[in-house]
Amino acid sequence: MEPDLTQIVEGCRRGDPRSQRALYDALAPMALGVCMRYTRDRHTAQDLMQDGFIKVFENISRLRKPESLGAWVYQVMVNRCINHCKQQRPTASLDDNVPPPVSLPLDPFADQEIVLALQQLPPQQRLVFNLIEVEDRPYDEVAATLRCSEVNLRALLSRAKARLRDILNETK
Amino acid sequence: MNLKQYTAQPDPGLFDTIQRRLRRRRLLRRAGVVAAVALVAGVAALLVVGRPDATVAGPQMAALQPDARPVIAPAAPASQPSAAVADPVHPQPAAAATAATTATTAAPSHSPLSAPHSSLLTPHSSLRAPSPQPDIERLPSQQPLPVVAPALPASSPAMAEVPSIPSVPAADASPDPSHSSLLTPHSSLPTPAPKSEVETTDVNVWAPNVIIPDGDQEENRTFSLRFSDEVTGFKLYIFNRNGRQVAYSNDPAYRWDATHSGTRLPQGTYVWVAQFRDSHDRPVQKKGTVTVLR
Repeated sequence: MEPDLTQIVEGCRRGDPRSQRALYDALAPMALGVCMRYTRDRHTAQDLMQDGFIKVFENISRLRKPESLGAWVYQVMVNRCINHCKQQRPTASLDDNVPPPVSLPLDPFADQEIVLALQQLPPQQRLVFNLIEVEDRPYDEVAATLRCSEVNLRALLSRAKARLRDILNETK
Repeated sequence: MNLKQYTAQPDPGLFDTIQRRLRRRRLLRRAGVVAAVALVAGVAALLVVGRPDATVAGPQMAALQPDARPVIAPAAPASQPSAAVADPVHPQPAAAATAATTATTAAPSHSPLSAPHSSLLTPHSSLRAPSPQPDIERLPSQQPLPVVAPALPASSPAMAEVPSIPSVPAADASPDPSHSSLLTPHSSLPTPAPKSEVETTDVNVWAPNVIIPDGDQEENRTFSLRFSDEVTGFKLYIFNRNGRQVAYSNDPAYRWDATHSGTRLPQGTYVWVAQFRDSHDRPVQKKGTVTVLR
């Protein structure tokens, strides 16, 4: 898709459905991968991905460099997921009590299994783990985004790691 | 291992939903712009048209002043200031005039372009002609009731097939034909028949509000509807909280087990919409929510 990337972006700016389709086909797996890491099940992930693509298509005129389209879409998805986690805070307690309906396969070190384990973490721990360990964002930036202290972040992160270790050990 | 590279294949058909949502959002935005433009244009037209009237009679000019406000206000309350215009001329039947003007605005409100014009222009006709006063005074105290009748067809599709109710009795004793729209509410008063007719055709639908798909009790595991009457042309849609359709059936005895194409859906609240025709072949739509507990 390298050569016609600019064309696709141009088409999307005009609102051409075929260009939107091409963009979606190229980037949907990556986008859903991001959303899967930040949510507790596939359904929520797909809903978030939908929201993210709506934002992508409506705001594509703001994208300055077409060659960084992938990175931009990635960032839109991450932001949508962060917002989702923030909105979810009040209902998190109910969700926490319910184990997600997945059964873990046996090989604990493939990406798929780690994502499934991630999905079992409480929303806050999952969010912090994703932002700091997976996205490699600095502590102070994450603390500003989530409006909490760095100490709090570190506590959440260590709890998330311990919990992940437990989950992955159980399945070994 | 690099989790950042993790990808997953989305369900087919998601892109169509995205496009549908994009189109709907675009339409909504456009409708909002059109309504705003029409409102501003309507107010401007009123101010221009209002000038000659004001030179004829002083008090009307004063009454027109409050109309400058609806520029900021949304389209719906546009009928409020028009009632204020009528106020100084007929102080007593002000409430009746409000009811009458809302009745007239309720009908054309589908098209945002025409609505503000008609609602803003009606006060002029009532200002010039003194004839509506005796009519309005003749209104019994329950005149807000018939206002509901013409408004109903817009809200429920079940009533869409009986639009002729207000127009049939409109022939009786209307002294001024230009005010036929003002007269319809109370002229439809002596015929309460349509209301009772609607009640007799109502089908009762029983739906559970909670299902427990993994529970012990068989009857609580699935979601299904029960009807008090025969229904035809049945359609049932179930949506999740984000508006994605997760189930569809045209079988009235359909039992939903909280799955979507084979996968178990998470705990939460889901919206169901049932559309069907009753024994009189009238379209009926019922909706509600069902909570899935895991």
